[in-house]
Amino acid sequence: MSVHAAMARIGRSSAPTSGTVGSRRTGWGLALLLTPAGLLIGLLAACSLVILRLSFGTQSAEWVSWSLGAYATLLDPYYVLIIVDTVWLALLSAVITTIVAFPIALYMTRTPSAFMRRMVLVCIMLPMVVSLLVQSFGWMAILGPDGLLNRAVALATGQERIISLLFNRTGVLLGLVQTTIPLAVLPMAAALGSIPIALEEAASVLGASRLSVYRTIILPLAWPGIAAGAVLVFGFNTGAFVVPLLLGGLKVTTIAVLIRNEMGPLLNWPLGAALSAVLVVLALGIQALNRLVAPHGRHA
Amino acid sequence: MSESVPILQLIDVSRSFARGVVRAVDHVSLEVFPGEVVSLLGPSGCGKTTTMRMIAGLDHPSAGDIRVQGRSVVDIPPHRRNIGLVFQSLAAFPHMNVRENVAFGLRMQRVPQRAIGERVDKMLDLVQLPPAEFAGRYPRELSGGQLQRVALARTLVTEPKVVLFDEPMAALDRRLRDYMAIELRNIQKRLGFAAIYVTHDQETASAMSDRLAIMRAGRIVQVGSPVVVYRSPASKFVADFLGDANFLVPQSVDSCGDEHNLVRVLDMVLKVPGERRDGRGQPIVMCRPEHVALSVRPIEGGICGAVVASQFKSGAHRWQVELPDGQQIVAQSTHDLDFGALPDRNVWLTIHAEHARLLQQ
Repeated sequence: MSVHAAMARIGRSSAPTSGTVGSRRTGWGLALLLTPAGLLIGLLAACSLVILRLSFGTQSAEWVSWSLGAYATLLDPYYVLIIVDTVWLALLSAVITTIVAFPIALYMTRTPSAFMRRMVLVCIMLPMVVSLLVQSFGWMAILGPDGLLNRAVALATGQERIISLLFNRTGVLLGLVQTTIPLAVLPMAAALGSIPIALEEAASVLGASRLSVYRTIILPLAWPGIAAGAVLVFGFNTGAFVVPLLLGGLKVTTIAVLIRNEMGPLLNWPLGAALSAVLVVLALGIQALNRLVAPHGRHA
Repeated sequence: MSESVPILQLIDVSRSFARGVVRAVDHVSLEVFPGEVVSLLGPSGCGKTTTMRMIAGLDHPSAGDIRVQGRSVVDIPPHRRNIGLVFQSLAAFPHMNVRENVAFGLRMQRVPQRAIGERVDKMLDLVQLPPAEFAGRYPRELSGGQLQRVALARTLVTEPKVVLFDEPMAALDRRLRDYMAIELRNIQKRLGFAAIYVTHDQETASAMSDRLAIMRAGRIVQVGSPVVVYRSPASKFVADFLGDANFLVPQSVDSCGDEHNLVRVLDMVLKVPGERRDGRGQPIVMCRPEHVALSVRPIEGGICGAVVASQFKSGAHRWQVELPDGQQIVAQSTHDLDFGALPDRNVWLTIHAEHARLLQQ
């Protein structure tokens, strides 16, 4: 199951008739309906191509010259390390988010109380409603040197400022995980929700311990949803900008932060454009990865 | 039933929900002997499924004890009970093919790979799914009847001493269900496991059980062989639930002392078996349609009624007759009855008193 299939499964209950409406309109009517979206996507695609063109230029002669200089610069260990580090952070956050999200998704699908299910869903969706900026400032208030966490620890232990989670990788990771939990929970919950309880009970009557039930029934059946969530988080976090900027305090640099620096203060557009191209290729590569980690679409 | 030691015992088992407000299962006691098929029969919501789930370990009794081969199992989790359960939904694992589905239980028991292959093949042959053709198929590629067989094979391959069936044939059409019932019974006799068959379908239950346990509102109201329960139901509910029954309100009941009663219904006086229990309940006479005889000529001791409806079903006539006091009674016979010469379709009706029963309403 691809990410799209997972999202479609989530959306299915809320918009079950959208397919029939579309199928009735054909030809010009459909073209007319697609125009706004087409314009937006077309504009974006055109801009992307402009960026691609920029990446093959040289600084202050972006439109007239052709050069691979920007890409050559990216081979510098400084940039390679940042690219690798970005991917590593995204990967780590994807793994942690997936592990954190699993029990939440499981609870959401298994609780008999409709109220609790809705409450969890609301809590899960909150990060998507609140701006990343606000969330990051929230983390700063908690993790800062004089933040809630350190005060609590100081109160409990009597020692001062012993935990430093802000302006380092741990802080960034924490932020990346928290802000992407909904992306992991939703496809996972959709996949878990489609597993009938009878399958678990059948397995346990047949001699499977609780652990075996997870290993042989739940995880394999929910795997497409789990993988879809993980790939979403991974893809989302390779382009992370606000969280590393605010919680990393310039000590953690990701590709997106680098692009902003090159495009903005440093005015090195070709290098920024080349970095953007790398980011896009990475994102596409991750999408392709989804097909590799979740190839079993036969029961999805 | 030749052995006298029960393989499964339910002793005063109760299960309450919603903090004791709802009592789904109410002091149920039942013994199942090796090689025996007992059907838990009752309308939906009577507690039969909850009872079955408690035996399997998927639910926990609020009170009472469940024993397998004399040992209490209430505190043993389902995966260590080795009780088979064929689910209503069949619950075939969709991500496993037929072979993997059937092998699952053996894999969990850590049976060596080689032995698993042999036992799975043997079991697939037994349920008539030739391994060469079916072993590699996935559940979505199978028909309802074939899924049924996979579910059965998956349960039986681990050789459980007791197998529970939760209406596994409810989704099948009548013809296939009858066929599967016969086949299931043959397999059961061959392998010799004890079975509890949970259903609301009294025909299938009667066809394949040694004994029926009729449940109502969380209680077992009668246990007995299908023949005994059909002929001598303990209550109006049981009589009504098992096949068709006529109920007539008698004008008077007089005990004869020998477990028979002289019952007056309209102008008929019948000597009907059945104990007149004092106290609760109105007495009522139950007779099956096949024990009501009709005649176009007056019969001594019979009563006159008017045929209001007739139908021909499964090779037998059924006539609905209205009695002078307004009560209706259904008669069944394989013989034809010529109504042509009848004014107002009036007939004379007699009841085989020995087959009727006096019940408490």
